[in-house]
Parts: sequence; C-alpha cells; structure tokens
Amino acid sequence: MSHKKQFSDQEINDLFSEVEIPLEKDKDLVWSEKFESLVKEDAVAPSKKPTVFKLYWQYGIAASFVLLLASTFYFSSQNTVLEEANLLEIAPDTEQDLLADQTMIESLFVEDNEFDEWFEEQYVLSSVN
Amino acid sequence: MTAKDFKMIYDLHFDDLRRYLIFRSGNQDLSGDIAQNVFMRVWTKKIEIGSGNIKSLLFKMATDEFISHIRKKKVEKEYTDSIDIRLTQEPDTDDDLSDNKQRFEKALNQLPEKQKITLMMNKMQGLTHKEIAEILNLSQKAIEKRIRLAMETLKPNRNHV
Repeated sequence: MSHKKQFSDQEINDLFSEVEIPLEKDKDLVWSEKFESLVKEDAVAPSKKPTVFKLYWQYGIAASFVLLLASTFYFSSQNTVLEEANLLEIAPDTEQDLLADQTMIESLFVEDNEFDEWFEEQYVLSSVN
Repeated sequence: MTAKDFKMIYDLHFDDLRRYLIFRSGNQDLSGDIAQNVFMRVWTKKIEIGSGNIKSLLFKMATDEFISHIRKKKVEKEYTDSIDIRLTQEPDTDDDLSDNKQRFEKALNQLPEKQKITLMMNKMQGLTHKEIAEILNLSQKAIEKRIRLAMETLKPNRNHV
C-alpha cells in the first residue's frame, strides 16, 4: 500500500515561491537602453513650454465669431440709416420732375429738322417760368 | 507622474510583468517587447496611476496587448498553451523534497490552461481575485471557481492498495 502525500495549502504556497521563470535580459539594462533617454528628454522639454499664459483657442474662435456678428449687425443698421437719408435727399421736387418728364416725352414727337426751334421755345418757356 | 515615480514603478513591476508574459507566451523576446510597450505607454501618455491599482493596470494593459498581438499575427495555436512550469532544483536536496517538487510540477502542468493561468496570477504574481477578474475581463466568481478547482486538483489524496 502506498500513500501519496496530500499537499497542504502552505506547501502549495511554498512550492509556488520556487517556480522558476528565468529572464534573459536584466531590467536595468533594458532601462538604460530604452527608457533612460526617453525620461530625460521629457524631463527637459516641459521647461521650454510657456507656463505664464495659456491660450484657450476655443474662446478665441468664439470671441471672433461674436465680434463678426456684432460688426455685421452694426454696419447693417448703419446702411439702413444711410439708405433712409439718401431717400430723403433724392426725394423729387415733384413738379419739376414732372415737367422734365413731360418735356422729354414731347421731344420724342418733334421732327429732327424742327428740333432746334422747338428746343429754343422750351428754353424760353422754362426761363420765363 | 515624475521620472522618479516612473522609475520606482518600473523597478517594482517590470520583472513580474515579463514573467507573467513569458508564462503566457513562452517567448522571451515577445514578453520583453510587450512589457516595454506597456511602460512606454504609461510614460508617454502620462497615464496617472492611483496608489492602489498600479499592478492590475499594468497587467491588464499587458494582457490586452498580448491578446491583440495574437489576433494580429493569427498564431493562436502557438500561444494557446502557456509554458510548462519548472521549480528550482537544488543539488543535494532531500529525496522526498525533490520528489514533492516533481509531483507538484507534474500536477501544475496538467491543470487546464485557464485554471493554471489564474492560479499562477494569484500565487506567483500576488494578484487578488478582483484584480485577476478585471485583467481577464471575467467575474470575480469565475476566478474564485477556477482557483478553487485548481487547488482541489493539486491536493489529491490517492490511496493505492
């Protein structure tokens, strides 16, 4: 009769501590080859960056947009004022305009050879009036 | 994270990470590359690591990268089985002790793959059930079950008449 010994929990834990998984390369060597320069570079680089003033470009874009809208609105209202002023300026002296229009229409019915005589008559009439 | 903190984390966990990856893959070069990539990402992406979850985060990143590597290379067959476990054998040791070690080695290597990996992570790497569950994307109950079954298998009590 043979009896196989039962592993206790403690034995299992002790045996696990003896499990061997060898490593080919030393971790200090890996550090010096791969990480040392990387960590040093990054340690130096941040000092070159400005820390006093931080640009928030999103706010800049938003502010530009608001400025654009405001200026569009302002100039648009200015144009409206100007247009109204122009309307007042060019508001016709109705009587004179009507007279000018009438003369122009009449001139269409005047023969070419009679035009000069007709034109002199109109000049005299308008001077008298 | 300062350079000093990073070096400290590296010194504490780099070798453990490599051993875990060697156990999973059986490949020294691959394990070294993945472990380096993990630490490189931690440093370059300035991943802030809380005081309590450094190890599990590193193992999780390494596991994800290892699985990603398997999928990319489509060598799943090669990496399905982890390496056989060996215990240190010192010369001139007690025969019973040596015999125990051999039995233990044999029993460990005969465990189902999932139980072996889970047990190794718990016993060798010192990871808790919760941490292992997070790393392997499983429930804590599943991890506990695997470890319990593995321990029951390792503690046989066979009587031969």
